[in-house]
Amino acid sequence: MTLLDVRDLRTSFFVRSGELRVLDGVTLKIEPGEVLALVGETGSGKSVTAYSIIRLLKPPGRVVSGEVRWDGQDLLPVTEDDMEQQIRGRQIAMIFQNPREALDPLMTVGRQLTQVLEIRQSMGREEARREAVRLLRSVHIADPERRLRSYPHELSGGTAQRVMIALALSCHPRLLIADEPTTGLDVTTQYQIVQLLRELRERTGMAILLITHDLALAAELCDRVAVLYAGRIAEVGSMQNLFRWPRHPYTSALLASRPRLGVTGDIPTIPGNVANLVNPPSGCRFHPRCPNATDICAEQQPALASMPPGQIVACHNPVTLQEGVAVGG
Amino acid sequence: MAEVADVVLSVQNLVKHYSIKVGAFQSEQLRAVDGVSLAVRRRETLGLVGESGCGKSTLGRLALRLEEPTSGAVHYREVDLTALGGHELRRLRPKLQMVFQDPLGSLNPRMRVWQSVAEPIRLHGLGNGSVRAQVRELFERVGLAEEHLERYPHELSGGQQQRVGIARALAPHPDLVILDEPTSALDVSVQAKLINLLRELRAELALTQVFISHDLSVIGYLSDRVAVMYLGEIVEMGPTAELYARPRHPYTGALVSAVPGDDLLDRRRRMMLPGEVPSPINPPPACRLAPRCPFAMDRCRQEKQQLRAVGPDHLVACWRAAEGEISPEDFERTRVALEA
Repeated sequence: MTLLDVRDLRTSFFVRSGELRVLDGVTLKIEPGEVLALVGETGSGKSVTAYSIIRLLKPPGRVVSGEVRWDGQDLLPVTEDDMEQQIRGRQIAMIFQNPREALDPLMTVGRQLTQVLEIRQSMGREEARREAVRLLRSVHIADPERRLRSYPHELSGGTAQRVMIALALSCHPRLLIADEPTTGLDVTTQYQIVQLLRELRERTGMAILLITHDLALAAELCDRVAVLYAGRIAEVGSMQNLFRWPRHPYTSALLASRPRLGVTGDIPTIPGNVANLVNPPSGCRFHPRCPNATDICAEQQPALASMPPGQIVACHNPVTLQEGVAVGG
Repeated sequence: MAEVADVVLSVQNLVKHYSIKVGAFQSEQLRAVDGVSLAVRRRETLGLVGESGCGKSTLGRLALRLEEPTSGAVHYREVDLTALGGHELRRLRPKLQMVFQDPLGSLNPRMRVWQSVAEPIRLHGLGNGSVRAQVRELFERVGLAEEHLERYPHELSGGQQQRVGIARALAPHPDLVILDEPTSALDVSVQAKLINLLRELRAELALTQVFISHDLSVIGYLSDRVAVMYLGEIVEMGPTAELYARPRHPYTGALVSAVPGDDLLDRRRRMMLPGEVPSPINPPPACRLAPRCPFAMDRCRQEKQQLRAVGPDHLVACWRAAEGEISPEDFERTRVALEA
C-alpha cells in the first residue's frame, strides 16, 4: 500500500492582505522505502507541504481542504493527541535545516535522546542510555559516550545534524521528512550527511521526503522528484526521466539556470518574478513567465496528466522530448 | 608575476586573531586569518573560496580596512591602508567598495532605495550634474526599472535588493569592488540573473574585483583566478580553468569533486574528507588539513609548507603536491576508495 498519499491539499495563510493560497491542490505519493525530493524555490510551498502533512502549521496558516492519507488513513481529521501519540515523531519523523536550533540548548545530547526513548519506547534509564549510545554510533558519531554529555552549542553543524537524525531514528520511523538537511553545512560535510541518509534508507527501509531547493542534492539522493511552483505540482517523475527529459517548461528552465563549469556566455534565465500569491496569475500560475505559453494557459489550469517518458505533468504546452534531451544532457 | 604597477590590491602576511574569553581571566586566540599574502591585478576578478568559518569574509573586510588586522599590511596600489588615518581613509573610500550577502542589512530601511544609492555620490561630492539622473542611469545599468527608484528596501524582492546593493557600490566609480557572497541568499533562477549581470558589469566597467563565495560553480563562472582558503590560510591559488581541471591540493581536490557536473544524473564519486573542519581556536600545528587528508605523511604533521609554484601562476601549500607526488589518478583512487 502507498505509504503517504497526499490528495489535492490546499493550505492558505489568512493575512491582512487576504487569503494567500500557498498550496493550491498539491498531490503526491510516497511508496514504502522510497526517496522523493520535493523541489522548489522560495515561496513555492515546499516546507508548508511538509508542515501540513505532519500538522505542525501555525496560524495564520491552515489546511483548507484535501487529504493526507497515511497508510490508508486520512491524517487531517485525526485529533492532536493521536497525532502526537501515534504519528508525529513516531511513524513520521522530521529533521530541519538548522539542527542546532532544533535541539534543546539547555539539555545534553544524552538527556534529549534518553528522554525520548523513555517516553516513547517506555525504556528504563539504563536501557535508554545504552540505546542512545547505539543510535549515536549508527549515525557514525565518534566517541558516543563522550558526546552524550555535550550540549548542542558544543557540536559542529554536521554533528548536530547527525544527532537530529539519531533522534529521528529513535522511534524507527517509516518516513523521514528532511527539510533542507544539508543547507548551511560545509561542502565537505554535506556529502557525509547525504551518504548517511542513503545508508540509513538502505539499512532501515524507511522512506524519505527530501525538501530542497538544490537540484544537485536531489540528484544525489532521490528516486523520484516532484517540482513545485507557486503551490502547485508542475511535474513529478523518476529522477532519471525528469532530469533527462523535463516536460514542464519550469523544470526545464530551472535545470538550465544552474551555473556550470566551463560554460561561457549568459546563463539561461526565467523572465519575471515568482508568482504573487495574493493575486496569483489565472490559469497556469507559471504562464506569465513561460516561453511556451498560449492563450489557453491564461484561461485554464492544466491538470496533471501522464506524459512520455513516464512523468506526470501539469502543462498545456509541454517541452518536446527532443528539447528535453538538449537541456538535461 | 605581474608588474607591480598592475597590482591594485596586495596583502602581505595578513593576520587577524580574535580573543575569545574562555574563563574569567583566560582567553584564547581564534585565528580567523593567519598569514595570508596575495595580490589582485588590475581588471581581474580573484575568486576567494572556502567553507564557512575559513576566514574569507574576514579577509575581505581586512582588505578594505573595515576591520583592523592583528598584523600584516594591506596596500591599495602604492598606499599602505593600514597606515592611514581616518581622514585619509575616508578620502579613499569611494575607490574601495563592498557588496554584502545580505543587501537588506546594508540598506537603510527608512530610505527610499534611490536615496541609498545617491548617498555615496553626495557624500563624496562626486555629483556632477543631477544626482538623481546618475542614480537613474545606475538603476538602468543593474537592471532595475524606473518604478523601483521610489521604493523602500522591504518592498523589493531579494534579487532586486541585491541589485540596489550593487548600484550603491558602483555609484562612486570604484576602482576595487569586493563582493561577499552576493548571490548566496538567492534562489537558483534569481541567482542566474544576478550572475549574468555581474559578468556583464565586469566586462563593461573593467572593474578589479574580489569575489568571495563558498560556491565553486559561481566562482568558476565569474573569476579569472581562484584562491582557496582553509582555516585561515590560502592552500592553493591559480588560474580558474587550470585549478578546476587539475587541482593540486587535496582540499581543493575535495571541493572540486563536490561541484555538480554538467549532467546531474552522473552521480560522480566525490573525494570525501573524513571528519569536519577543526576549530580555528586550536588549529592543527603544521598542515591544517593533515588530520583529514588521505595523503598526509609525518612531515605534514610536523612542518608547515608555504605556497610554492607548481606551474605558471599556480601556487600550492602542500608538501606532497608541490613535489608532484599526488597525481590526478591518485585523487581518482581516493574517491573510489572512500566511497566504497
